[in-house]
Amino acid sequence: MTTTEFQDPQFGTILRFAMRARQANMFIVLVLALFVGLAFGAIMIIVTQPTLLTSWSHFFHHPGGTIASSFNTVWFAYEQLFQGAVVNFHALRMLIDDPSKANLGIVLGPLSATLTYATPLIVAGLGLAIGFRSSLFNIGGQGQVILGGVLALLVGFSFHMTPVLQVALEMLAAMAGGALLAGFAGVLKAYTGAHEVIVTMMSNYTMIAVLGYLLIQPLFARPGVLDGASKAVGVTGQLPYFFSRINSSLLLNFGFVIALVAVFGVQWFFDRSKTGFELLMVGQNPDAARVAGINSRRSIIICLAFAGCLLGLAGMLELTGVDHFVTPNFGGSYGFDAITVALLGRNKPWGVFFAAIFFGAMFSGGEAMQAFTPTNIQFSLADVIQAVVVFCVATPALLVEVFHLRGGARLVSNNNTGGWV
Amino acid sequence: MSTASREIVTLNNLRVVSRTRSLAYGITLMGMGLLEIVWYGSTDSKLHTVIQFGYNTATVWPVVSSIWKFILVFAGVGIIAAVVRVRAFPRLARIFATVRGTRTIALLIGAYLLIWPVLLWLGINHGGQLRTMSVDVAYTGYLFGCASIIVGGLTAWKRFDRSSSGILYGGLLVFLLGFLIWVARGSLDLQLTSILASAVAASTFLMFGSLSGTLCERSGVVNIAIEGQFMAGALSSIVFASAFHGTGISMTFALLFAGLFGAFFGWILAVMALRYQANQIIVGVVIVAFCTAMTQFLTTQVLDIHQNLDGSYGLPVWAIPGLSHIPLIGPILFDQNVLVFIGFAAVIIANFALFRTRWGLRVRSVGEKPIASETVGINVVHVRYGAVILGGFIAGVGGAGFTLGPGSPFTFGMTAGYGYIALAIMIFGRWRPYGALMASLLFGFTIALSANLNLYLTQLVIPQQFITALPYLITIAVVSGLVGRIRPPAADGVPFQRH
Repeated sequence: MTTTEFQDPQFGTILRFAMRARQANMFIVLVLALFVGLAFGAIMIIVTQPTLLTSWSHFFHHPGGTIASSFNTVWFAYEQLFQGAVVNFHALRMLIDDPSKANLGIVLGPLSATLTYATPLIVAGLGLAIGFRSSLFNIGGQGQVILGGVLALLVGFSFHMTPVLQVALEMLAAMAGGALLAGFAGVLKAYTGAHEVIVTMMSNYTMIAVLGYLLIQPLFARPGVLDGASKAVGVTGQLPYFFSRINSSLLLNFGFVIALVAVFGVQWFFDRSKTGFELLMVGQNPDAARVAGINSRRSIIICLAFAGCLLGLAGMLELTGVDHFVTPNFGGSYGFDAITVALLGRNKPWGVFFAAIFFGAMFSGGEAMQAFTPTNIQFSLADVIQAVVVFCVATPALLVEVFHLRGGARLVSNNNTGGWV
Repeated sequence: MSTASREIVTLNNLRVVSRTRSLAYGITLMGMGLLEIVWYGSTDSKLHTVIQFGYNTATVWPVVSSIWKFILVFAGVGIIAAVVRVRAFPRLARIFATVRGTRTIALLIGAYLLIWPVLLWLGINHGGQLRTMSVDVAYTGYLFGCASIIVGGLTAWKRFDRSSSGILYGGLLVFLLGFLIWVARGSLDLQLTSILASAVAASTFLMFGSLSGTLCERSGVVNIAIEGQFMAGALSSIVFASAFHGTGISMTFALLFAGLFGAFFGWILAVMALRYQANQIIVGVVIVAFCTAMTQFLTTQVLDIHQNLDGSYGLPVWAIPGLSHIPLIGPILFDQNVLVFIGFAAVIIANFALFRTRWGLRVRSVGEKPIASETVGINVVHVRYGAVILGGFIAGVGGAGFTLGPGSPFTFGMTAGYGYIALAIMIFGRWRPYGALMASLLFGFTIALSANLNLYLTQLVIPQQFITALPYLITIAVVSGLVGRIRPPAADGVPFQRH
């Protein structure tokens, strides 16, 4: 692909920019994916609103009114989505008029919620990205998050040490738990050829059952009540909040720093460490790796155990940062969201970081959308938009073809799935 | 044996591996038997389990006069004798030779007629009442425990190959039966026929799902989106049926509609995997994520408000006229909702299509060696498109089994990972429709067991959660090589590029 034609003087500036914009790169693909996702979400909003559907039935009678009312509804929903996720402009204005602590808390609210939700997702997404990079599909995020959370909880309520020591111990316990569960799948994969997708998937459901069992045991259950909630982590085991002085509802905590450290750590692991290089090599060309003398069994187990380590850590961050106790649906959709986060971030550490923040934004924005839109557009619409965005980003070839992007072949990596054994 | 030498598949290595495997299985079975003896044998010897054999009195013939019994038994003996002594009758041999499988079917019919009075006696007694059997729990423990130990010893004795897997499954079945009797000890009746019938009903969607996986993977495309196709089929079918108030014709179209939705997602998978050569597992996972989000959104946004769109309309239950009157087997296999029969038919048709037709040969060759198929003039991409879209259709119809089968409204998350279990079943059945059928019946049994054991929860020592986790644990055991050496289609999951 030569760029000489764009330097041709007969191309005007605007035209040249347009041609540049059609060059396929990840940024353009991301923007287009977001556009497609929002467009699909808009269609879903219009289709599921009875009043809008009636107005569309009178489309030829009143085309302008129909389009205007649809546009208004969609725009209002997306406005709430944005204001709930990033910043509320009315609150900002109030802060400028009256710079008080209370107003500052309201302004920081959406961003804090976004980052709080993103914190475990960053770590979990990093864990899955490690697996994806060496072509291992660890679908068992949920189970590993649960086990990590449960072990961290065990440490959290049984000890009362100095905060730093206890948090460190919780982290260790959670990471060991996640690594054990994922490493088990790795051992099965390495020695019997069991496909990790099915083993980890099944370990999810098993862990959900185990969690349900543990929560009615006297060791974990809240004394006196069997409502399915566990004892709470002791005060010394909780992660400190950043903005608790401004407003106690701002839940952004020290876990975000741990997540940032994890991002740097994983980047170092892939770019600088020998093991990371081996994993990458096994993922990209198993035959070449074997010829080069890399023990594929060892790297499979290490890779999955490391991934599980991070997922367990995600469970610990969720537990000690936000909830402080475990309910039967602990870990919720983190496992699956983390898969899509890793795909959206193209398995690169910083990509995962921003993808997780995008997911956090969609989550907190979605809740605001559900609360403030007149017909209560459900926040699972945000999930739908996310799914479409991830679909477009994970398979860029589609966007490259539909929008006639140039030079898309670079983006499309040829991946062998490689069967089940 | 060193680790390095195990990588190479030699006859000697295979022997060592299969020897180790059979030893491991045998010792496990013997341990289970010992556990059964110690555990069940020590239960209070006064405890009994009442097993109810009859299931649905309306469909069971009340009493058959004794002369008919004798005639039928003689007929059975005659048929079996004819089959066994077939060489003595050259004319019969020729008839048997022309139609494949006639001999097997004749043997089955003859054997059935022979044991038919016994089964009838098991099902109902002279007064037309349901026959029950009272089993002593302690003795059952000793009996089944000893049986498990003997089977374990047999398994450990010889090398593990295809012939010994039958023994292994027999031992597991014996253990499970003993377990069932032990669990249901006490006052409640163990409704064996009812549990088995619900097992067949529970295996419906697994049947469809594993068939879909088999079709797709035989053509070389990994369809991990079965879970998503289940969701799409379940939601669309119940909405369609509810919109037309569940009339007969609307049920038919609801099934078709569910299939079309599944086929749509199959088509998306096919386009991504075949046209753009994306990673098939990633595409599948993303399709599942999309279907999860969409079903959640539509459930909360539309169905919760318009509840008339999410009614409970069940498919009709057909009692096949002659067959459903057969005691024990009739109510289990031939007194089910229509989808079960469609599932049986689909398995038989798929087996015929895959292994007896030109299309099936092409599908299989495309999944094994696409370049060779291309060389002889088969359009690899077209064949794969067809197989994946058809697989999606089948999975979509199977999804209707979640809602229309038992006649329950759609709830978010009702597919509960059965789409992934269907893939494990496909592996268990070694990528063959009949294998998939048998494996899904087995899994259906564990699912029905875990659902039915809640009835006996009051006496249950094992926590309910562990029994819920049983199908999932079995799946892990299955994919990690309990079924022996498995060999997927050679080009499974490998994108095809024309050279």
